[in-house]
Formats: sequence, structure tokens, C-alpha cells
Amino acid sequence: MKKLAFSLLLVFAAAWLAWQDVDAGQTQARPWMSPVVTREELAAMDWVRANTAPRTLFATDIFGGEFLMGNTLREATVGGDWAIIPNVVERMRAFQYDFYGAASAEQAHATAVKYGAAYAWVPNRQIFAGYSWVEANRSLFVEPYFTQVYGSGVAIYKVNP
Amino acid sequence: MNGLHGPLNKRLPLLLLLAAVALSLWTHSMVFNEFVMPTYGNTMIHVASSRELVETGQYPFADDYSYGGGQPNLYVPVYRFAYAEAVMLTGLPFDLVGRLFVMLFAILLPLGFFVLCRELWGEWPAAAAALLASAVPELLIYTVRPLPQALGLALLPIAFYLIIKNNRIAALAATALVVLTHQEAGVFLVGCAFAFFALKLLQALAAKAEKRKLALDAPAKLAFACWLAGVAVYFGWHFFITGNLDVFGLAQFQNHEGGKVTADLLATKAGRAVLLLGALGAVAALVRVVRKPFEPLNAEYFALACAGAGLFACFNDLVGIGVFMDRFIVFLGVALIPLAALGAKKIFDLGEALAENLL
Repeated sequence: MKKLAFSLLLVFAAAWLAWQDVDAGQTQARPWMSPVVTREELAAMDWVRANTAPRTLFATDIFGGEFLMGNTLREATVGGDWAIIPNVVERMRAFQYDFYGAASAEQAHATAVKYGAAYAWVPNRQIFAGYSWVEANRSLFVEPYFTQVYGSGVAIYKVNP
Repeated sequence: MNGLHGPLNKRLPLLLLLAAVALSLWTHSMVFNEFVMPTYGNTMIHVASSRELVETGQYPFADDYSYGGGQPNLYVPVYRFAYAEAVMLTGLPFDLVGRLFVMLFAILLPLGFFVLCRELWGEWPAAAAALLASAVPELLIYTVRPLPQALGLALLPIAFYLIIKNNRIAALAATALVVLTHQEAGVFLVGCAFAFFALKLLQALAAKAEKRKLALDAPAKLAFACWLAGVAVYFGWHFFITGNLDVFGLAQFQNHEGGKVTADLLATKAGRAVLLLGALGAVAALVRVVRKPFEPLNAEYFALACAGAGLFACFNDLVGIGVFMDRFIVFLGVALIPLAALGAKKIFDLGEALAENLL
């Protein structure tokens, strides 16, 4: 019995160490549960389905784009599997710096047109198009370049020709 | 384990397995925390392909949704097919099915490690392995989200079990399933299978040199067949989708996706207990292999081969590959759990030996 107690003591020590790792796992995993997207973006999916055709291309960040793809079967300028996308890094850079981070409405519009986007997705949260997290600047999305067609927590703009 | 006898000895490992499943379900239950399922890790891109299959009856093989669309859908499809099938069979929304998938992974993980380690080392280490499945932080991070990788990770111990058990048809089928579920999981599986085969081949050649009788045994041959089948299945899929075999042209290789693995990162992500017990188990397995060089010792060779494959993958930058190094920590964790289970058994035995000498 004494021998067993000695062994159990060592096993309990190992179990205590393992429990610290279980706890650390919970702490490390919790941030990955954040959906990033907002409830307003979820609500906007109904509008997208009702007012656009499948495979319509939206200018988005990665999280907004993937959320649109999964919920509505629309396409997004960034987001998804980048394995065999031609010039994918250039594309991400364009939507990070020349669209959401554009210096002017004209530049944002030119980027959207270059990549064939029909709509722009501008959520009320930080966006991430592959390089950094920044606030979406709504002052870029103005006439005559963009026309707002939906808007509350997330604004959707038509990209004008 | 000589100190535990009678019904307790038979039932306690199963009770510990139940506790391990409960623990895993509890740690994974955070998937229900938010108003939608987790989105990190491209979870929604898999929903897109599954949703198209459900809503139109067609799978978008030729036209992925990613990055503006118009490109072949290279990602391996089994998880997406399973997702679509589950939605069609249950009629539940994609979001809920995704979260329920996570609970399924939570159950499969301890069960998989239990059956694998029972085959390798016996009931008590199997129970330890089932519990240790919850002690690898990176394993939780990757299985608490509805991702193909989570399914691949949950299937790995089962595939390993089928190889070591020499269940030929099932092992080959499991290999194909893993390869078509998640690319990295497939790479790791075929890497482990090849490393096991290579170690066993070296052992057989060494025996031959010593004029000993030791033929390459059935699990080693099966591991070789699984390696071959896994590689063929992946290249077949790649060719079917892209019309070429240029695997190394993928963006992940071209842009060297992945970060360097440091000791700190390894300890944080793999867990200190699994690392320490795994090291102890590795030493125990190595000692046995060195002391009995001409005995089959498939369990020891297999566990060491998997750990070797995991280490190689994590430090592939040292041989000039430089892709996904930190992303392979979770697979090293999978490889270390069986060795850690052996380490736990050795700790128990050590306690008994110490007590005998000291008391």
C-alpha cells in the first residue's frame, strides 16, 4: 500500500502539471472564439440574399468576405484559401492599403473596379485584409464613386461604373 | 501498475476514459460562447462549398469562392462533404452543425488516443493518453473550431491505431480519408508511416548484417503502403483539380507561411506536461529499443517514428523547407501524447521502485 501511495504521489504531481496545461489551453483558445464579425453583419445577410445574385463580388476584408461566402454564396475580393490564387499578396495589399486604407474615394473606387467588385462591404468594426487591423474609413465611400444601398451597423455601397 | 488489483484495476481505466471525454467536452464547450460559430481559421470558406452542395446539389470543384473566385477549388473536400451531409440529414442550420461537429471532435480525440495507446502500451497508459489529449493547448485551439484540421486531428490517432493493428483495408481507407480531409494532417500521417517503415527497415537490415532472423513485419509493410497510398491520393486530387502536379507552387510554399518554433513557443503550445512526460516516454522507448535491438518492438518504434516526424515538421526550416513550422506543433503534440502516456506509466513504476528502495 505504501508503494502504491508513493506512485500515486508522483502521478498526482504529473496530473497537477497537466491541469495547468488544460487551464492554459482554455486561456489560449478563448480569443479564437471571437467571431470578429458583428450582429449587424449577420442581419445584413438577408439583404444580400434578397438583393444580389449568387456569386456577386463584394469588396471586403477577410472576415467579412468569408462570412458573406459562407452565409450567402456571394464572392469576396479577399478571404478564403489563398493556395493557388494568382498575385494573392498583391490583392491583399490592395484591399488593405488602396481600398480600406485609400488616400481618397477615387483610389478606393479604382481599386474596387480593378478587381471587379460590384459592392463594397464597410462594417462598423476593425477590418483586416491581410496586413493590419484598422478602422474602416466610411468617409471614402461617397458619391459619385459609391452609392449607399444598405446601412446600419454595416454599410453596403454599390460601386458605381 | 502492480499495486492496483481486482475489479478496480479493470474498471478504473474505463472510468478515467469517461472522465477524459467529459473533460474534453467541457474544454470544447466554449464553441457555444458567441452568437455565431468561430470564424478564425477560414471556417466560413468551408461552409460556402458545403452550402452550395446543399442548396444546388453541385460541389464547386472548378470555381472556388476564395479571393474573387474563378479558381479551381483545391482544398481537399471530405470535411465539406461531411458537413453538407450532416446538414442535409439533420435539417439543422450550418452554424449549429459546425458547433456540433466540434463536440464530436471533442469525443473522438480522447477515444482515439485511448484505443491507440491501449494497443501500444495497455489500459492504464491508454487512460492517461485520453486525459492528456486535453492537456495540449494547441490541440484545443485547432479542434475547438469547425475546421477540416479538427477532423483530421481527431482521425489521426484512429488511423495510427489501424496501422499498428495491421488492419490493412481500414488503415488504407483511413489514410485516404485523412489526406482528403486536411492536407497538413495528411502530410503528417504519411510522414509518420514512412518514418516507422524506415526505422523498421533499418532494424531488419541491421539484423541481417548480424545474421539474425528478423523480417520486415506486417505493420511496417502496411505503413509503407499507407505512405504510398497517401501520397498517391493527394497528388491524384491535386491533378484532378488543377491539371498539374506542382504542389510546391502553392502560395504557402512560395510565401513560406508559418513561423519559427522556439523552445518557449513549444512549451506554451504543446504543454509542459506532455513535453516532459513525452521526453520521459521517449527515453524509456529508446532504452528498450537499444537493449533489445532484434525484437520487433512495434509500439516503441511507432511512437518514436511519429515523434521524429513531428520534430522534423516543426523544424523543417533547418533543412531549408521553411513552411508551416509552428503550424506543426499541434501534430507534434499528437505524436507526443502516446509517448507521454508511456512516460506516465514509467512515473508510476518509478514510484513503486523508489518506495521499495526507500521504505
